[in-house]
Amino acid sequence: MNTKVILWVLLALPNLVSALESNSANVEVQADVQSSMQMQWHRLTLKDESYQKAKSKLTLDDSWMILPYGLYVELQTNDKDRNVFLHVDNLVSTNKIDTIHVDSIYISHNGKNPVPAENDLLILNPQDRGLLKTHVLLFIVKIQPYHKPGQYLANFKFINNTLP
Amino acid sequence: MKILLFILFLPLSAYAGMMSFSVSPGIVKFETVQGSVKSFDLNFINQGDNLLKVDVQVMDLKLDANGVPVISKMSKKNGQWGRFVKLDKNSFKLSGKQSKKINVTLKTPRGGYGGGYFAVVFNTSAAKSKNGNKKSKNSMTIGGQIPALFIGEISRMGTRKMQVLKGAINKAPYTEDNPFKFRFLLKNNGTTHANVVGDVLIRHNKKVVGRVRLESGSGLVFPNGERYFVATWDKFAKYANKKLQAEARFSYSGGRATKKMRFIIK
Repeated sequence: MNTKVILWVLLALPNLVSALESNSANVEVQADVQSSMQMQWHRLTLKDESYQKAKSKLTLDDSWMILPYGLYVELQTNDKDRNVFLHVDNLVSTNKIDTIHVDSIYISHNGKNPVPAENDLLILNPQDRGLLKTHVLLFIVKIQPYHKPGQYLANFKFINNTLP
Repeated sequence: MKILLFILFLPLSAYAGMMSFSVSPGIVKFETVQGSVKSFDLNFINQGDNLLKVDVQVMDLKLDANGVPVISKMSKKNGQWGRFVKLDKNSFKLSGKQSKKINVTLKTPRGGYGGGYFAVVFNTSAAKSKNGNKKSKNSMTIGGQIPALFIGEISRMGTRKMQVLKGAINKAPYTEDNPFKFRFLLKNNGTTHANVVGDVLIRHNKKVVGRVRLESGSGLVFPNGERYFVATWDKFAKYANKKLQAEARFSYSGGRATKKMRFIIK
Protein backbone atom coordinates (compact mmCIF):
# COMPACT_ATOMS: atom_id res chain seq x y z
CA MET A 1 0.00 0.00 0.00
CA ASN A 2 2.79 2.40 1.01
CA THR A 3 4.69 1.53 -2.15
CA LYS A 4 1.61 2.44 -4.21
CA VAL A 5 1.33 5.82 -2.48
CA ILE A 6 5.02 6.58 -3.03
CA LEU A 7 4.76 5.56 -6.69
CA TRP A 8 1.69 7.73 -7.16
CA VAL A 9 3.47 10.77 -5.63
CA LEU A 10 6.55 10.20 -7.80
CA LEU A 11 4.44 9.97 -10.94
CA ALA A 12 2.29 12.96 -10.05
CA LEU A 13 5.20 15.20 -8.96
CA PRO A 14 6.26 16.42 -12.44
CA ASN A 15 2.68 17.45 -13.21
CA LEU A 16 2.30 19.22 -9.84
CA VAL A 17 5.58 21.14 -10.36
CA SER A 18 4.52 22.03 -13.88
CA ALA A 19 1.15 23.23 -12.57
CA LEU A 20 2.84 25.55 -10.04
CA GLU A 21 4.88 27.16 -12.82
CA SER A 22 2.02 27.78 -15.19
CA ASN A 23 -1.67 28.59 -15.14
CA SER A 24 -2.72 25.18 -16.36
CA ALA A 25 -1.59 21.61 -16.15
CA ASN A 26 -1.87 18.77 -18.62
CA VAL A 27 -2.65 15.60 -16.79
CA GLU A 28 -2.78 12.36 -18.68
CA VAL A 29 -5.30 9.92 -17.38
CA GLN A 30 -5.33 6.27 -18.27
CA ALA A 31 -8.15 4.02 -17.15
CA ASP A 32 -9.13 0.44 -17.81
CA VAL A 33 -12.84 0.12 -18.43
CA GLN A 34 -14.06 -3.10 -16.87
CA SER A 35 -16.22 -5.33 -19.03
CA SER A 36 -19.71 -5.28 -17.59
CA MET A 37 -23.00 -6.99 -18.16
CA GLN A 38 -26.34 -5.81 -16.78
CA MET A 39 -29.21 -8.27 -16.70
CA GLN A 40 -32.64 -7.53 -15.30
CA TRP A 41 -35.78 -9.56 -15.54
CA HIS A 42 -39.23 -9.99 -14.18
CA ARG A 43 -41.89 -12.58 -14.52
CA LEU A 44 -44.76 -11.92 -16.89
CA THR A 45 -48.23 -13.18 -16.06
CA LEU A 46 -51.36 -13.57 -18.12
CA LYS A 47 -52.39 -10.09 -17.05
CA ASP A 48 -49.32 -8.39 -18.49
CA GLU A 49 -49.85 -6.50 -21.71
CA SER A 50 -46.54 -7.66 -23.17
CA TYR A 51 -47.47 -11.30 -22.43
CA GLN A 52 -50.82 -10.87 -24.20
CA LYS A 53 -49.24 -8.99 -27.11
CA ALA A 54 -46.66 -11.72 -27.69
CA LYS A 55 -49.28 -14.44 -27.28
CA SER A 56 -51.61 -12.81 -29.80
CA LYS A 57 -48.93 -13.19 -32.50
CA LEU A 58 -48.83 -16.95 -32.06
CA THR A 59 -51.08 -19.38 -33.88
CA LEU A 60 -50.85 -22.78 -32.26
CA ASP A 61 -53.08 -25.84 -32.36
CA ASP A 62 -54.22 -27.97 -29.40
CA SER A 63 -51.03 -29.99 -29.30
CA TRP A 64 -49.23 -26.97 -27.89
CA MET A 65 -49.69 -25.33 -24.54
CA ILE A 66 -48.42 -21.86 -23.72
CA LEU A 67 -47.35 -21.71 -20.10
CA PRO A 68 -49.21 -19.07 -18.13
CA TYR A 69 -46.12 -16.99 -17.52
CA GLY A 70 -43.18 -15.60 -19.38
CA LEU A 71 -40.04 -13.63 -18.78
CA TYR A 72 -39.30 -10.02 -19.55
CA VAL A 73 -35.54 -9.53 -19.82
CA GLU A 74 -33.37 -6.45 -20.25
CA LEU A 75 -29.71 -6.79 -21.14
CA GLN A 76 -26.92 -4.34 -21.74
CA THR A 77 -23.17 -4.75 -22.08
CA ASN A 78 -20.18 -2.56 -22.90
CA ASP A 79 -18.24 -5.56 -24.20
CA LYS A 80 -17.81 -5.86 -27.96
CA ASP A 81 -17.00 -9.56 -27.70
CA ARG A 82 -19.87 -10.63 -25.47
CA ASN A 83 -22.89 -12.71 -26.29
CA VAL A 84 -25.58 -14.06 -24.01
CA PHE A 85 -27.77 -17.13 -24.40
CA LEU A 86 -30.81 -18.23 -22.45
CA HIS A 87 -30.53 -21.83 -21.28
CA VAL A 88 -33.61 -23.76 -20.22
CA ASP A 89 -33.44 -26.92 -18.11
CA ASN A 90 -35.99 -29.75 -17.95
CA LEU A 91 -39.15 -28.96 -16.00
CA VAL A 92 -39.09 -31.02 -12.83
CA SER A 93 -42.17 -31.85 -10.78
CA THR A 94 -42.34 -30.57 -7.23
CA ASN A 95 -42.05 -34.14 -5.95
CA LYS A 96 -38.95 -34.49 -8.15
CA ILE A 97 -40.31 -37.69 -9.72
CA ASP A 98 -41.58 -36.49 -13.09
CA THR A 99 -39.85 -34.38 -15.69
CA ILE A 100 -40.85 -32.73 -18.89
CA HIS A 101 -37.74 -32.98 -20.99
CA VAL A 102 -36.40 -29.84 -22.57
CA ASP A 103 -36.90 -31.34 -26.04
CA SER A 104 -40.65 -30.83 -25.52
CA ILE A 105 -40.18 -27.19 -24.54
CA TYR A 106 -40.17 -24.33 -27.02
CA ILE A 107 -39.55 -20.60 -26.65
CA SER A 108 -41.35 -17.80 -28.42
CA HIS A 109 -39.03 -14.83 -28.60
CA ASN A 110 -40.85 -11.49 -28.84
CA GLY A 111 -43.92 -13.21 -30.28
CA LYS A 112 -42.04 -15.03 -33.05
CA ASN A 113 -42.64 -18.67 -33.96
CA PRO A 114 -41.52 -21.07 -31.24
CA VAL A 115 -37.98 -22.43 -31.41
CA PRO A 116 -36.72 -25.53 -29.56
CA ALA A 117 -35.50 -24.69 -26.07
CA GLU A 118 -32.95 -27.49 -26.22
CA ASN A 119 -30.78 -25.09 -28.22
CA ASP A 120 -29.69 -22.16 -26.08
CA LEU A 121 -31.38 -19.00 -27.36
CA LEU A 122 -29.15 -16.10 -28.39
CA ILE A 123 -30.49 -12.94 -26.73
CA LEU A 124 -27.48 -10.64 -26.99
CA ASN A 125 -24.77 -10.64 -29.62
CA PRO A 126 -21.62 -8.54 -30.12
CA GLN A 127 -23.42 -6.14 -32.49
CA ASP A 128 -25.70 -5.17 -29.59
CA ARG A 129 -22.89 -3.55 -27.60
CA GLY A 130 -24.11 -0.51 -25.73
CA LEU A 131 -27.75 -1.11 -26.67
CA LEU A 132 -30.44 -1.87 -24.15
CA LYS A 133 -31.96 -5.08 -25.47
CA THR A 134 -35.40 -6.10 -24.27
CA HIS A 135 -37.00 -9.49 -24.73
CA VAL A 136 -40.38 -11.00 -24.06
CA LEU A 137 -40.04 -14.76 -23.75
CA LEU A 138 -42.96 -17.17 -23.66
CA PHE A 139 -42.55 -20.86 -22.94
CA ILE A 140 -44.53 -23.46 -24.81
CA VAL A 141 -44.83 -27.19 -24.23
CA LYS A 142 -45.40 -29.58 -27.11
CA ILE A 143 -47.73 -31.95 -25.32
CA GLN A 144 -46.79 -35.62 -25.38
CA PRO A 145 -48.96 -38.56 -24.19
CA TYR A 146 -46.34 -39.53 -21.59
CA HIS A 147 -46.36 -36.12 -19.90
CA LYS A 148 -47.91 -36.35 -16.46
CA PRO A 149 -50.18 -33.70 -15.00
CA GLY A 150 -48.81 -31.90 -11.99
CA GLN A 151 -46.93 -28.96 -10.70
CA TYR A 152 -43.57 -28.34 -12.24
CA LEU A 153 -40.57 -26.17 -11.49
CA ALA A 154 -38.43 -24.38 -14.03
CA ASN A 155 -34.78 -23.37 -14.12
CA PHE A 156 -33.39 -20.76 -16.46
CA LYS A 157 -29.84 -19.60 -16.86
CA PHE A 158 -28.30 -16.66 -18.69
CA ILE A 159 -25.07 -17.93 -20.25
CA ASN A 160 -22.47 -15.24 -20.93
CA ASN A 161 -19.76 -15.89 -23.45
CA THR A 162 -16.73 -13.85 -24.34
CA LEU A 163 -15.73 -14.58 -27.92
CA PRO A 164 -12.03 -15.45 -28.06
CA MET B 1 -55.13 -35.90 -24.00
CA LYS B 2 -54.47 -32.38 -22.98
CA ILE B 3 -52.86 -32.19 -19.60
CA LEU B 4 -52.84 -29.37 -17.17
CA LEU B 5 -49.52 -28.04 -16.08
CA PHE B 6 -48.73 -25.51 -13.46
CA ILE B 7 -45.39 -23.95 -12.90
CA LEU B 8 -44.81 -22.83 -9.36
CA PHE B 9 -43.61 -19.33 -8.75
CA LEU B 10 -42.83 -17.23 -5.79
CA PRO B 11 -44.71 -13.97 -5.51
CA LEU B 12 -43.84 -11.57 -8.30
CA SER B 13 -41.60 -9.38 -6.22
CA ALA B 14 -39.30 -12.33 -5.60
CA TYR B 15 -39.08 -12.95 -9.32
CA ALA B 16 -37.97 -9.62 -10.45
CA GLY B 17 -34.26 -9.49 -10.20
CA MET B 18 -31.04 -8.23 -11.59
CA MET B 19 -27.50 -9.48 -11.91
CA SER B 20 -24.42 -7.66 -12.97
CA PHE B 21 -21.12 -9.44 -12.76
CA SER B 22 -17.89 -9.87 -14.59
CA VAL B 23 -14.74 -11.97 -14.59
CA SER B 24 -11.38 -10.51 -15.33
CA PRO B 25 -9.57 -11.56 -17.40
CA GLY B 26 -12.27 -13.23 -19.50
CA ILE B 27 -9.71 -14.88 -21.78
CA VAL B 28 -6.30 -16.12 -20.72
CA LYS B 29 -3.85 -16.96 -23.50
CA PHE B 30 -0.60 -18.51 -22.38
CA GLU B 31 2.41 -20.58 -23.30
CA THR B 32 3.84 -23.23 -21.03
CA VAL B 33 6.33 -26.08 -20.96
CA GLN B 34 5.76 -29.74 -20.18
CA GLY B 35 5.64 -30.57 -16.48
CA SER B 36 5.69 -26.96 -15.32
CA VAL B 37 3.22 -25.41 -12.90
CA LYS B 38 1.48 -22.21 -13.87
CA SER B 39 -0.64 -20.06 -11.63
CA PHE B 40 -3.30 -17.56 -12.68
CA ASP B 41 -5.49 -15.19 -10.71
CA LEU B 42 -9.05 -14.46 -11.78
CA ASN B 43 -11.09 -11.65 -10.33
CA PHE B 44 -14.85 -12.13 -10.03
CA ILE B 45 -16.64 -8.81 -9.60
CA ASN B 46 -20.23 -8.45 -8.42
CA GLN B 47 -21.13 -5.13 -10.03
CA GLY B 48 -24.73 -5.28 -8.84
CA ASP B 49 -26.21 -4.53 -5.45
CA ASN B 50 -27.46 -7.99 -4.51
CA LEU B 51 -25.72 -10.80 -2.70
CA LEU B 52 -24.68 -13.53 -5.15
CA LYS B 53 -23.94 -17.17 -4.58
CA VAL B 54 -21.19 -18.31 -6.91
CA ASP B 55 -20.15 -21.89 -7.76
CA VAL B 56 -16.88 -22.31 -9.63
CA GLN B 57 -15.93 -25.33 -11.69
CA VAL B 58 -13.47 -26.40 -14.35
CA MET B 59 -14.95 -27.56 -17.65
CA ASP B 60 -13.95 -28.52 -21.19
CA LEU B 61 -13.71 -25.77 -23.76
CA LYS B 62 -14.32 -26.01 -27.49
CA LEU B 63 -15.38 -23.53 -30.16
CA ASP B 64 -18.28 -24.15 -32.51
CA ALA B 65 -18.08 -23.40 -36.22
CA ASN B 66 -19.13 -19.80 -35.56
CA GLY B 67 -16.39 -19.26 -32.98
CA VAL B 68 -18.75 -19.37 -30.00
CA PRO B 69 -17.30 -21.13 -26.94
CA VAL B 70 -18.93 -24.44 -26.10
CA ILE B 71 -18.52 -25.37 -22.46
CA SER B 72 -19.08 -28.98 -21.45
CA LYS B 73 -18.42 -31.40 -18.63
CA MET B 74 -14.75 -32.01 -17.94
CA SER B 75 -13.31 -34.95 -19.89
CA LYS B 76 -10.00 -36.66 -20.58
CA LYS B 77 -10.08 -35.85 -24.27
CA ASN B 78 -6.89 -34.83 -26.06
CA GLY B 79 -6.21 -31.14 -25.73
CA GLN B 80 -8.57 -30.70 -22.77
CA TRP B 81 -6.47 -29.76 -19.75
CA GLY B 82 -9.22 -29.34 -17.17
CA ARG B 83 -8.15 -32.43 -15.23
CA PHE B 84 -4.74 -30.86 -14.59
CA VAL B 85 -6.29 -27.76 -13.00
CA LYS B 86 -6.94 -26.95 -9.33
CA LEU B 87 -8.96 -24.05 -7.95
CA ASP B 88 -8.39 -22.53 -4.53
CA LYS B 89 -12.14 -22.22 -3.98
CA ASN B 90 -15.20 -23.84 -5.51
CA SER B 91 -17.94 -21.67 -4.10
CA PHE B 92 -18.42 -18.39 -2.29
CA LYS B 93 -20.95 -15.69 -1.55
CA LEU B 94 -20.28 -12.14 -2.58
CA SER B 95 -22.03 -8.94 -1.61
CA GLY B 96 -22.82 -6.20 -4.09
CA LYS B 97 -19.91 -4.06 -5.36
CA GLN B 98 -17.39 -6.58 -4.03
CA SER B 99 -14.81 -8.69 -5.81
CA LYS B 100 -13.19 -12.02 -5.09
CA LYS B 101 -9.86 -13.40 -6.28
CA ILE B 102 -9.76 -17.02 -7.43
CA ASN B 103 -6.46 -18.79 -7.97
CA VAL B 104 -6.16 -21.29 -10.80
CA THR B 105 -3.19 -23.67 -10.84
CA LEU B 106 -2.33 -25.70 -13.92
CA LYS B 107 0.14 -28.55 -13.82
CA THR B 108 1.06 -28.82 -17.48
CA PRO B 109 0.97 -32.47 -18.54
CA ARG B 110 4.23 -34.22 -19.32
CA GLY B 111 4.04 -35.79 -22.73
CA GLY B 112 1.51 -33.19 -23.77
CA TYR B 113 2.03 -31.45 -27.08
CA GLY B 114 0.33 -28.65 -28.91
CA GLY B 115 -2.64 -26.73 -27.56
CA GLY B 116 -4.48 -27.17 -24.30
CA TYR B 117 -7.84 -25.69 -23.35
CA PHE B 118 -10.21 -25.41 -20.42
CA ALA B 119 -12.73 -23.04 -18.93
CA VAL B 120 -13.23 -21.90 -15.36
CA VAL B 121 -16.96 -21.42 -15.14
CA PHE B 122 -18.74 -19.20 -12.62
CA ASN B 123 -22.38 -20.15 -12.03
CA THR B 124 -24.25 -17.47 -10.15
CA SER B 125 -27.60 -17.34 -8.44
CA ALA B 126 -29.23 -14.97 -6.03
CA ALA B 127 -28.25 -16.07 -2.53
CA LYS B 128 -31.20 -17.18 -0.40
CA SER B 129 -32.20 -14.68 2.20
CA LYS B 130 -31.86 -15.77 5.84
CA ASN B 131 -35.57 -15.41 6.48
CA GLY B 132 -36.59 -17.35 3.36
CA ASN B 133 -39.23 -19.98 4.09
CA LYS B 134 -39.14 -23.65 3.16
CA LYS B 135 -41.44 -23.15 0.21
CA SER B 136 -38.99 -20.76 -1.39
CA LYS B 137 -36.47 -23.59 -1.68
CA ASN B 138 -38.72 -25.22 -4.27
CA SER B 139 -39.05 -22.32 -6.61
CA MET B 140 -38.10 -21.36 -10.11
CA THR B 141 -34.51 -20.23 -10.28
CA ILE B 142 -32.82 -17.87 -12.62
CA GLY B 143 -29.07 -18.03 -12.68
CA GLY B 144 -26.19 -16.67 -14.64
CA GLN B 145 -23.06 -18.25 -16.04
CA ILE B 146 -19.82 -16.68 -17.13
CA PRO B 147 -16.64 -18.50 -18.05
CA ALA B 148 -13.00 -17.50 -18.08
CA LEU B 149 -11.49 -19.17 -21.13
CA PHE B 150 -7.98 -20.60 -20.98
CA ILE B 151 -6.22 -21.04 -24.31
CA GLY B 152 -2.74 -22.46 -23.91
CA GLU B 153 -0.04 -24.22 -25.81
CA ILE B 154 3.21 -25.93 -25.09
CA SER B 155 5.89 -23.70 -26.56
CA ARG B 156 7.17 -24.67 -30.00
CA MET B 157 5.55 -28.10 -29.88
CA GLY B 158 2.33 -27.62 -31.80
CA THR B 159 1.61 -27.72 -35.50
CA ARG B 160 -0.99 -25.77 -37.46
CA LYS B 161 -2.48 -27.29 -40.57
CA MET B 162 -5.58 -25.77 -42.11
CA GLN B 163 -7.76 -27.41 -44.72
CA VAL B 164 -10.63 -25.76 -46.56
CA LEU B 165 -13.40 -28.35 -46.35
CA LYS B 166 -15.98 -26.67 -48.54
CA GLY B 167 -17.13 -23.45 -50.10
CA ALA B 168 -20.55 -22.30 -51.23
CA ILE B 169 -22.67 -19.30 -52.17
CA ASN B 170 -26.07 -18.64 -50.66
CA LYS B 171 -29.32 -19.13 -52.55
CA ALA B 172 -30.96 -16.39 -54.62
CA PRO B 173 -32.91 -14.11 -54.58
CA TYR B 174 -30.42 -11.62 -53.19
CA THR B 175 -31.88 -8.71 -51.28
CA GLU B 176 -30.80 -6.24 -48.63
CA ASP B 177 -31.71 -8.86 -46.01
CA ASN B 178 -30.17 -11.69 -47.99
CA PRO B 179 -27.07 -10.26 -49.66
CA PHE B 180 -24.86 -12.34 -51.94
CA LYS B 181 -22.40 -14.24 -49.76
CA PHE B 182 -19.55 -16.68 -49.94
CA ARG B 183 -19.12 -19.14 -47.11
CA PHE B 184 -16.12 -21.37 -46.55
CA LEU B 185 -15.60 -24.00 -43.88
CA LEU B 186 -12.07 -24.36 -42.56
CA LYS B 187 -10.71 -27.22 -40.47
CA ASN B 188 -7.63 -27.24 -38.28
CA ASN B 189 -5.89 -30.61 -38.69
CA GLY B 190 -2.93 -29.51 -36.57
CA THR B 191 -2.22 -29.97 -32.90
CA THR B 192 -2.57 -26.38 -31.73
CA HIS B 193 -4.85 -23.42 -32.36
CA ALA B 194 -4.37 -20.78 -35.02
CA ASN B 195 -5.76 -17.37 -35.87
CA VAL B 196 -6.72 -17.34 -39.52
CA VAL B 197 -7.44 -14.45 -41.87
CA GLY B 198 -8.62 -14.74 -45.42
CA ASP B 199 -10.11 -13.17 -48.50
CA VAL B 200 -11.81 -14.20 -51.73
CA LEU B 201 -10.62 -13.29 -55.20
CA ILE B 202 -13.40 -13.34 -57.80
CA ARG B 203 -12.41 -13.86 -61.42
CA HIS B 204 -14.30 -13.61 -64.70
CA ASN B 205 -12.53 -14.76 -67.89
CA LYS B 206 -9.35 -15.12 -65.79
CA LYS B 207 -9.49 -11.43 -64.89
CA VAL B 208 -9.91 -10.39 -61.25
CA VAL B 209 -13.24 -8.55 -60.90
CA GLY B 210 -13.54 -8.44 -57.13
CA ARG B 211 -11.81 -9.04 -53.83
CA VAL B 212 -13.64 -9.33 -50.52
CA ARG B 213 -12.40 -10.01 -47.03
CA LEU B 214 -13.59 -13.14 -45.26
CA GLU B 215 -15.04 -12.38 -41.82
CA SER B 216 -15.07 -14.64 -38.81
CA GLY B 217 -14.32 -12.63 -35.70
CA SER B 218 -10.80 -13.32 -34.51
CA GLY B 219 -10.58 -16.34 -36.84
CA LEU B 220 -9.42 -18.57 -33.98
CA VAL B 221 -9.67 -22.30 -34.77
CA PHE B 222 -8.86 -25.01 -32.22
CA PRO B 223 -7.20 -28.28 -33.22
CA ASN B 224 -9.76 -30.61 -34.83
CA GLY B 225 -12.12 -27.64 -34.86
CA GLU B 226 -13.95 -26.11 -37.79
CA ARG B 227 -14.90 -22.52 -38.46
CA TYR B 228 -17.05 -20.72 -41.01
CA PHE B 229 -15.70 -17.69 -42.84
CA VAL B 230 -18.16 -15.46 -44.66
CA ALA B 231 -17.76 -12.65 -47.18
CA THR B 232 -20.41 -10.40 -48.72
CA TRP B 233 -20.00 -9.22 -52.33
CA ASP B 234 -22.15 -6.27 -53.38
CA LYS B 235 -21.12 -6.10 -57.09
CA PHE B 236 -22.59 -9.47 -57.99
CA ALA B 237 -25.49 -8.11 -60.13
CA LYS B 238 -23.14 -7.02 -62.91
CA TYR B 239 -22.06 -10.63 -63.38
CA ALA B 240 -25.45 -12.34 -63.39
CA ASN B 241 -25.55 -15.54 -65.54
CA LYS B 242 -21.80 -15.39 -66.14
CA LYS B 243 -19.28 -18.04 -65.27
CA LEU B 244 -17.21 -16.91 -62.33
CA GLN B 245 -14.44 -18.37 -60.22
CA ALA B 246 -13.87 -17.67 -56.54
CA GLU B 247 -10.55 -18.38 -54.89
CA ALA B 248 -10.55 -18.34 -51.08
CA ARG B 249 -7.11 -17.64 -49.64
CA PHE B 250 -6.40 -18.20 -45.97
CA SER B 251 -3.22 -17.42 -44.08
CA TYR B 252 -2.08 -18.14 -40.55
CA SER B 253 1.13 -18.35 -38.62
CA GLY B 254 3.06 -21.10 -40.35
CA GLY B 255 0.97 -21.71 -43.42
CA ARG B 256 -1.62 -20.97 -46.08
CA ALA B 257 -4.67 -22.74 -47.48
CA THR B 258 -6.69 -22.06 -50.61
CA LYS B 259 -9.78 -23.34 -52.36
CA LYS B 260 -11.19 -22.55 -55.79
CA MET B 261 -14.79 -22.94 -56.85
CA ARG B 262 -16.77 -22.11 -59.99
CA PHE B 263 -20.26 -20.65 -59.84
CA ILE B 264 -22.93 -18.82 -61.81
CA ILE B 265 -25.13 -16.14 -60.26
CA LYS B 266 -28.74 -16.84 -61.26
